Amino acid sequence: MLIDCPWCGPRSVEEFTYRGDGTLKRPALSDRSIDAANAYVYDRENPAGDHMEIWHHGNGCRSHILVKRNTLTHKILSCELLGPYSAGRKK
Amino acid sequence: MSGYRISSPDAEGRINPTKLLNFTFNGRTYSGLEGDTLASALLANGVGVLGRSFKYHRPRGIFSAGSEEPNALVTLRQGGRSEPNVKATEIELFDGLIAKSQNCWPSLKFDLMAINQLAGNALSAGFYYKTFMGPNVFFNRTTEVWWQFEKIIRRAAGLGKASLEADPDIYERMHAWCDVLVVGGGPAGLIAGERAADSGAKVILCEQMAKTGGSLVGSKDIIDDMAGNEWAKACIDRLRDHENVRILTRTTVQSYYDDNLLHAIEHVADHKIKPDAFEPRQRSWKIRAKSVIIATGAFERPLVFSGNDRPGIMLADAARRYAVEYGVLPGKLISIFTNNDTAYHAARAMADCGANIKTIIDVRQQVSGEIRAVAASMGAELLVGDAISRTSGLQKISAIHVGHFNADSKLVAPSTHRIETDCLLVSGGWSPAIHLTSQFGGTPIWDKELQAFLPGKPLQNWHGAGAMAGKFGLANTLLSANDAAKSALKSIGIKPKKLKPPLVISEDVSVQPAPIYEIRRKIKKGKSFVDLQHDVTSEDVRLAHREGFISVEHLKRYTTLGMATDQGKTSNVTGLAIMAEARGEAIEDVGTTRFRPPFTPVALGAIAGESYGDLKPYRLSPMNDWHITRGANMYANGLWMRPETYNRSGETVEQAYIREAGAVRKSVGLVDVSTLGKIDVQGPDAGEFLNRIYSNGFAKLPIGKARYGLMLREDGFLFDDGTTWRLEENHYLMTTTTANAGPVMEHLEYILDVVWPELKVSLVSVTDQWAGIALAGPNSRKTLEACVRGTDMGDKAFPFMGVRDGEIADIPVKIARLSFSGEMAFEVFCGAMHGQALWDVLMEAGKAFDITPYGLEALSTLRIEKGHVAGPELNGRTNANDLGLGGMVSTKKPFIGSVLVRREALNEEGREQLVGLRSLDGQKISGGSHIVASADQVQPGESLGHVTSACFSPELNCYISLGLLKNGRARIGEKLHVTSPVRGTHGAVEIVSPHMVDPDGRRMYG
Amino acid sequence: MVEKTSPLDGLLKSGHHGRPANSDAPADLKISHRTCESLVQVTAWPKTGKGIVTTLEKMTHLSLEGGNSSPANEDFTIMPTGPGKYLIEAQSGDAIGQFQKKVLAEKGAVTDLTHARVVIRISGDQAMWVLAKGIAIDFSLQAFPVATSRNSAHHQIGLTIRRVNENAFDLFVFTSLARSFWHWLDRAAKEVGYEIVREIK
Repeated sequence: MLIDCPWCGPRSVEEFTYRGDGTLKRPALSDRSIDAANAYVYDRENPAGDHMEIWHHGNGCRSHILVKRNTLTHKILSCELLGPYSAGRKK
Repeated sequence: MSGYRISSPDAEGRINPTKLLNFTFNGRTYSGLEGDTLASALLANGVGVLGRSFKYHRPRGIFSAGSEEPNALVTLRQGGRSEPNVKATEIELFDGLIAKSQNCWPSLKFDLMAINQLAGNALSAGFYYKTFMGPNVFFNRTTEVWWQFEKIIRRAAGLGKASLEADPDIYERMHAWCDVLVVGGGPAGLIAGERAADSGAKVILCEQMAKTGGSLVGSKDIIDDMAGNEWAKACIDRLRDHENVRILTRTTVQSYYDDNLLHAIEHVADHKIKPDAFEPRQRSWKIRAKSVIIATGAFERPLVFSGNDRPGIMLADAARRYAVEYGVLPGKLISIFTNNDTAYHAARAMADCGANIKTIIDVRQQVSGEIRAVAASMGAELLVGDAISRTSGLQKISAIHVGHFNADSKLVAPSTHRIETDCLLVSGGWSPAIHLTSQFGGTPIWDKELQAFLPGKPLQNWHGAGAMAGKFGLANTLLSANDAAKSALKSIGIKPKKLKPPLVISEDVSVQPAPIYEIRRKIKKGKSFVDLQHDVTSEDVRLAHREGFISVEHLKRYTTLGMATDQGKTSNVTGLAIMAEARGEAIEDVGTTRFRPPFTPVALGAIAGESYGDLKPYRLSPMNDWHITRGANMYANGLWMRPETYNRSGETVEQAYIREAGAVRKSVGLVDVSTLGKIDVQGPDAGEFLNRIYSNGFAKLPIGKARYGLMLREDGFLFDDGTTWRLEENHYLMTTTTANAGPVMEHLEYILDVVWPELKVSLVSVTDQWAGIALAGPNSRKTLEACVRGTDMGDKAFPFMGVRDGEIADIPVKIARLSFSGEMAFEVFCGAMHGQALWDVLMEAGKAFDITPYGLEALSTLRIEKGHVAGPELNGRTNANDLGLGGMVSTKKPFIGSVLVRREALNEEGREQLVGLRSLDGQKISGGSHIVASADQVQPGESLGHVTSACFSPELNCYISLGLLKNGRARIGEKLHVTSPVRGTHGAVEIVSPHMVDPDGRRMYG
Repeated sequence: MVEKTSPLDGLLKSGHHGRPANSDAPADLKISHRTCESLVQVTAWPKTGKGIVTTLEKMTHLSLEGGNSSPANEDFTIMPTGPGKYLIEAQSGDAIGQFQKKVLAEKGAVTDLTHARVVIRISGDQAMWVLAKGIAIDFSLQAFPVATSRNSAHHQIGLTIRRVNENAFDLFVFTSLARSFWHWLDRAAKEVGYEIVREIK
């Protein structure tokens, strides 16, 4: 796979580490519900098709990237920076 | 020259007639010419039998002239460079080459294993599956009995043997990026490559042979008023002059992966007796291409008939190539057997070189007048509508037996002619080399006209050119390659430069074969081979059908058709055709299997590349060289190399660590802790961040103090521990365990980026910035007092868990009063490149106290005695309460893991808890031993837990350990046993508190 | 001040190594190594980042054009290593204090990495060829222009690479991994032959 890191440009998958499902949102710090925490830690969809994934560019800029990838064709449809510099977080 | 070499070989070909090379085959010396392959050189010397077949040990010769070769496998070179199963057709001849036959014993001529032929029916398809399940005899001990036979059978069936010596050569890897990768340096590849290069694209062109030109080498075609070969030479010269073009010859593109990543093997030095100094033997290329032009040509395939494997039988176009490219005629009395026109032209080209073409047998019922004229022009007898019913000869072919072919029944009538021949050329049509297009999953499409699979719809950005795309004939090939280049360039946004199409003068040859694959006889006699390398016959295919293995995937696995080192390049389509006929269906409905990488066999060395013998990088502490000079046993701890013990002469490891640990408790020792993970945590929200990621409180940690912290995973289990030092208002230095440094950093970065991006915190790994030295023992403070400047080392001014800046011999240091050993202890950090200088000063300052350097074993002993947990206890399955650290899990604040740590299962009765164990019988306790109740070693009963870390305690003068024991804390005082069936040990232990030495911690506070 | 000892001291022996050079064509490839007088990472917070960029530009007299551009002058070299992150090599040892004073005032962070990296400079027409053996990035001038930098990996270990000129690169390698990296680079460069020199300008 070739992941188009929004900061570094296209890089080989060997520079990245898969960090999990990109659709999950951690319950708020104040949320003490075991069910909600359980769902966040354990419940995963396993879609055959487009999937949102978080990849860490550990051997690059060390950013986290939200990657939309088709699990059937390996085709990467979009790559977006996560974190404080994410374009999507401009409010 | 031998009678098989044409006296004045065409200088346009691949060989240099003026340069003789000597080589040895099966112990006999021969000579060949520069540019020969081993196959062409052997043919020139009249050597027709090269080896014995896989299963039946039948004599086999040279069948092709390239990578599709199923038969002519040899073992090349000797000793560590010996390489089995190399295709003689791919080996470039060099002076001093040594090769030998395979799979024959005691000799190639007289092979005892040929007796397997008589057992032929027993060795049919599915032999291994049937045999090693075994019939139910021998009192149900079938399998065991068959194991004995298996050894003999495995010896009989097989290919060459790998060398047991180490490979002395080096292999390398290379990464490359380009706009257009052209696979194949024949006419299609050349013209496409030039078009792309002229348009400004960055081009890589790979050709598997030493010379580019492909079918133009030795051809009589004319391009732009130039002989084909001259045109090809001029074209490659122009390409070489391009700055943006890289040409890789002797390079096979093996694999096509996702996102247009292609893997190629460059045979850098395989054409030499050995690589030059510092030269790699092979280089493995990973090529990221924006677009790919696949111009890999096509493979001719054979016809299947009884006795079609005899040496002297060869693909028609291969024979042509030997004649026109290498100046070698494979026989003196040549016959042709074909279902298409191309073989006539091959024969014509050979006749032009002086070959005696005796007979052409065409299985078709009718042929065109033009093709009859071609046959007549070389004076060959033409038998149309006939077929070969069998062949004869002692080892090599000496005669063929020909009868009338019935197109409806596909049966050949008993032979009416016996034709003497020493070389039979066969042609059953052409299969485009679509392998790369199929590897990524493009389903091939059956073409009825060509009777062949064409590449399916591209799933990636590649463009087919020439015969690979089903465009045969030079004019068509060049046109399609031009189109492929245009579409490839457009697909990546490069404007194709206008190009005047070359003017081609070339004979127009139809490649459409009659849909005839196999010639069957009424009487089932003799073997008709489909897959020559794996000895799979047409009867095997039908047997698979009868036994229900009718899908192509099952056919492949049950019969092993196409699974040999040639991956069925000449046999797949024929096998499918026979299966389709057995099923009574069309080939397109039967389908085909997906080609898998690599295209040809790849040496493991090329995959390992430079990491041979050095599979992972290594990390060294700044004091590494000192440790080694002092005779330390270095031990790999993750990537780090750490001293295990500093053995004095005559000391065992155990004696050394007992001495070292004892010295710490008695006076003072120092240990290299540079390997600890260190993370610089800064920012206005750093305190809040730490409070959220540690399970214990960090909000109130004062400046100048360190705190031991527990880190949990989101699921509530323990992740890591370490101390974090508050250096300034918004500045902390976190330490992690050596093993978890990387994972902790990733965990924290994830939280900051994904979970709480609003926190203003900076995380920087400073593991490499700081050298760390821990000083421990009752005299550690005195040692430091002797050398530290700028900070008061007294207990009041520098209390337990204090962090201070200071200077030691002009080296700025950070000192923290921490203890892992339970003694009065300090960790001293300085810039890594000052680490050795600091170590030297501390050694000097501690001389008065007989300071002792200690290694990992003593470090571990000291912490086991104290009941401090480390990696074996933080094993991913324990929680804080299990390890007696429940008090460090705050109930007052939320943090990572705070919700799920409350789960019932993590807090239920009967969980394994940390305990100490003391040996009662003086026996050593081994890590990993099970804790059991019974004294009976043979029947120790159920496991109650296991030993995590063990050592001999110099303080307690006995073997002790830490362990995880069910309801452990309630069992303190019980006498149990530790057992290790693996080591054969069993001993009595007492369960004690894990805090075995100085439980009140007086020593470290003192 | 105590001298810094680099893990490569004594390992890179001056002179020619690998494929022999002949008198007509001396080794094209040259390799040298150094430690930094000072090396810091400056981290800017997203909202105050602009202020830090201005501060850095004022302090270094360099202009940060964004992206991977890595400007340098006699005193400073700035390599952006990630969003809001700059690795800065300064030729003077007291630069750290200055950065700490000025950047912290802007509420960014300064981390001293002077001891954390060893710098290997490799120059010559063959430099790209040698580096591409182990590093999976495109070294062509179009993809990796002069005075830009890249973070990538060799053998799963990160490093920062700065293109000094058309055929010279500075490799900022983790100190603890420097020998392991050198072990590879030495072997990779021996194919073409190289010369160890004290300094490459």
